[in-house]
Amino acid sequence: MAASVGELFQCSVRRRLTKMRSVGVSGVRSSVRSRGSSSTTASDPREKVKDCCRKLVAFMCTQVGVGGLVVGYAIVGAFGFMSIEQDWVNPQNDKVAQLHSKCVCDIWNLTTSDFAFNETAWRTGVDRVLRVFQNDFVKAYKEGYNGRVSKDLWTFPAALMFCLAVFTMIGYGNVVPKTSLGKGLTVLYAVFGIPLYVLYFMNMGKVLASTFRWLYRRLYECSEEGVGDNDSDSNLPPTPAPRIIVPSTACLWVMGGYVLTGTIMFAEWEGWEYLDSTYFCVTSLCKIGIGDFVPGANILEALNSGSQTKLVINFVYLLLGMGLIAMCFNLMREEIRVKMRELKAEMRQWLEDIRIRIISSYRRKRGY
Amino acid sequence: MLDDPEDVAPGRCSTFLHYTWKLCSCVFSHVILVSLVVSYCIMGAFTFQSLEKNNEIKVKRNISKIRFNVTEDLWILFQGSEVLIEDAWTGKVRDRLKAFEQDLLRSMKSDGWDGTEDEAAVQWSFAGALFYSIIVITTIGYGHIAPKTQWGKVVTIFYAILGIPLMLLCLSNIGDVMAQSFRFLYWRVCCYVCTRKPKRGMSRRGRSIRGSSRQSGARYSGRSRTASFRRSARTSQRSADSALGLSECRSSYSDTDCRYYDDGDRDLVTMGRSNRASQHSRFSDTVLQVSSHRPAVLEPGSGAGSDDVLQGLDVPAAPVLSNKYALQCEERRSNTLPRGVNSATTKNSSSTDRLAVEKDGNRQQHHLAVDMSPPPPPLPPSPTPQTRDSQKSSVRSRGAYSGSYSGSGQHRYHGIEHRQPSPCRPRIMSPMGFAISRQQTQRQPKSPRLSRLREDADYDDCVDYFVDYDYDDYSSGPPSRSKPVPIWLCVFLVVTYILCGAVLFTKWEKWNFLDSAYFCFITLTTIGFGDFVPAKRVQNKDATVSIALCSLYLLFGIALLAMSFNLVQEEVINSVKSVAKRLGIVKDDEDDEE
Repeated sequence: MAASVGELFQCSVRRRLTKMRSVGVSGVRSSVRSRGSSSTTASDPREKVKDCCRKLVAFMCTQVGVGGLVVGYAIVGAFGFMSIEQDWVNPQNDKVAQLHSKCVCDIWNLTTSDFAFNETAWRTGVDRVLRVFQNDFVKAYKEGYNGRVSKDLWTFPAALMFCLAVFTMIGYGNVVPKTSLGKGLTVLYAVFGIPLYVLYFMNMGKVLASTFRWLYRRLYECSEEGVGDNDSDSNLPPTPAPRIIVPSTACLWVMGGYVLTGTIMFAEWEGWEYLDSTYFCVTSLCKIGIGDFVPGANILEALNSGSQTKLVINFVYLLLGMGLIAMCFNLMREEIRVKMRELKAEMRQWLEDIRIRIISSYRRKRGY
Repeated sequence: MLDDPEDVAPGRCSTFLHYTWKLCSCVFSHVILVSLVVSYCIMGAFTFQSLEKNNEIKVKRNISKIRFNVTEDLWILFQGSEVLIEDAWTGKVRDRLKAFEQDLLRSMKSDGWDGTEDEAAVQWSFAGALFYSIIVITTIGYGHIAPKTQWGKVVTIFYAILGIPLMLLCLSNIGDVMAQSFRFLYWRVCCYVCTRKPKRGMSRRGRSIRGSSRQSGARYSGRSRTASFRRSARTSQRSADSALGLSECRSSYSDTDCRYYDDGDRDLVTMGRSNRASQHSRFSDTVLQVSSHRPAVLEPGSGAGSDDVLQGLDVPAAPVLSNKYALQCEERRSNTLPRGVNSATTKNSSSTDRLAVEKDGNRQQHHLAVDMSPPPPPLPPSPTPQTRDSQKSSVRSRGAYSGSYSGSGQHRYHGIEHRQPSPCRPRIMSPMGFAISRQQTQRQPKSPRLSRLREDADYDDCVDYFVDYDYDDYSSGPPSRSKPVPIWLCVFLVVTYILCGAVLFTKWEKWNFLDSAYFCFITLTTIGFGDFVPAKRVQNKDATVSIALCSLYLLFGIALLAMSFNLVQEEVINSVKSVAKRLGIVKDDEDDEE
């Protein structure tokens, strides 16, 4: 009964997806080959094209296809946004340069003026000038001054990260489109990208969940064999194949391990503290994306060549992490469903119990 | 003797407990969940405020220290240089200023300085912290304020892990309620149009006799509607947006009404049964499945139906009533046949007193109608069984109608009609439509949530069916599909919401319109870049109001999105399926899922 918005998403996509995949699993093996053959031999072109199209779509709805589609979509988006946004000249940069010269000029005037040798007067004067500069600078910053030219900002990895942040709905916000065209395209990109991503999410979650379930069952059987006492019990399950429900603690362990890996990785690479790194991993995987820590995009750090590969690895880390979350979602939902059923049965029994008790008391009262 | 109270009491008691349980779960799921989320937000606000406020004040104090250092350095620079050459000295000052600028940038980026040194205007005020906790648990994450202390980060992690599922639960719940009420409102307006228009049309044309029968029909439908909608009337007509969408829908539907009645009257007079059947078949895509399960379905259906009628319970009353009307509609439909046939069917079909009473009225209408109408061109060879069959199958198609909209069921329909030649089946109309629809939905393996949704939809569909049926039957346009709530309406609603938000924020925050629309979109999709955040740029006294406005806007917007997903998902799946089928991408036999 308890269902989330994500589940709404899921329900809608999963049905479409399972249907597609039921075709896809059968069709994926021969898809590449048939595509090649259909292009060469076109005896019945209409049917061939239809068949080819069917197989293509079926392939696209498998894990590989959707994954490839997501990555391709991100790369296309990255190039598009790069070309759009790189040419944008931040008007705030000029403004800040003007502020500099104005401030320097003011200080110079102050120094050459009469009371230059009165220290307290000079200090208060300079402080006032600096305060004006500071306020103007803050204003410029809030209007989009970033300390960098947009050409430096919109490198390919950063654009890739931006695309990922858009369609996974993380939204770091460290790099944002500034042009009107870029904003409009971002909206369009999100409109098409989010369903695609949800498709990927569900697909990945399903695959990973089944893999994990299989793995868990194997481990379970092994451990049960070791005990020996429950040997008959554990040998029983595989043949009639009752689904072993993976406990949610196992999912939590997996997620914890993944977050820990990410923590160590980012802490080593980015020189963050471990807490900051954990904070980044959790907020990213929860799709909050506060954006105060973004790998490779530190505003004060010069862009070196190593950060590019790091960004790509970060990309992979996030996509995989989303898949893992979907997996945990799948597995835990299954468990919760079982638990809910049990709870419902228990509740019904409890109600029945109360009812019988009430009836008996009622009867006793009527008897007297 | 002792068994007697035991027989009576359990029924009463269990029904009482059942309804108490339902009420409790309803109250629990809606009120308690919302209040839980609200209290969670407030708790988070207090926690974050206490954790972060001191740090922010410290950062603010640090700024003046940084500036003091700059002044100090400049003084030293000034003292150190013996001859003051303008270019050299200004170059040095410029360098120092660049360093100062970097310091400022760092304190804004990493330490979360908001740009003012006023210690009274902190970002982590109660409103700001509340906004932050809402931003976290809705996973928007603007990032304009972020925790900077160690404990703040740790608390954020756990707060998010606990809060996000809670928020999703609450939002989906609200979305459910909103979807139900929206569906209800949507159909209510259509019903309204369908019931109000007959009077106008009648008076315009002056067909008094037919008009009276129609009026009674309208009365019936109206009554059934009120009875069945009483259940969900608690959430009616609250949201302005729904009303907006509704008015839109009304205007869109009203123009077809004229055609509708032209066609309707002509149909009633001249139309043969086969014509009707083809129209019915638009809804009868899944008839095949249902008919194959009919023997199993009939008995529970009849049992449940009689129970329902006798006990007069609330929820099952909806299908009974609606189908009663449907029955009346059927009778009206068959009024081109001889009167004897009608009376025969009436005799056969009167299973309860109430139905019979209804039908007395109907029979009178038939007298009138038969008097008026010319003899039907395609008279069936053996009227009684055929009529009954047609009625039965039409009812079945009505039951099977819910949720299956892809047409092309015409030949199937005819196939079924041929397949049921036995006239002596018990004709249970009212429960059957409902029971079949239920059976069918339960038969399909789905996630429990979906099936629950479908069941909910079934209630409504059973009730609302007539409207839809009439509308689609009589509209002379191309065979449009019947939809619970069309996709375009949901999309329109969301787009309108975004545009309204854009206008609002343009006014409030002095952004330009495109930026406001962009902000609304980015917020509602929970991307949340944070380049536009309300009350970020201007630190005025309206900040709190602006924050409250924004959080209300986004909470309601996300609930609206959830509602739209709720309404649209079936439609999208069906349309995608049909498109895929038409393209030949997915074969028909691979329809079964899981």
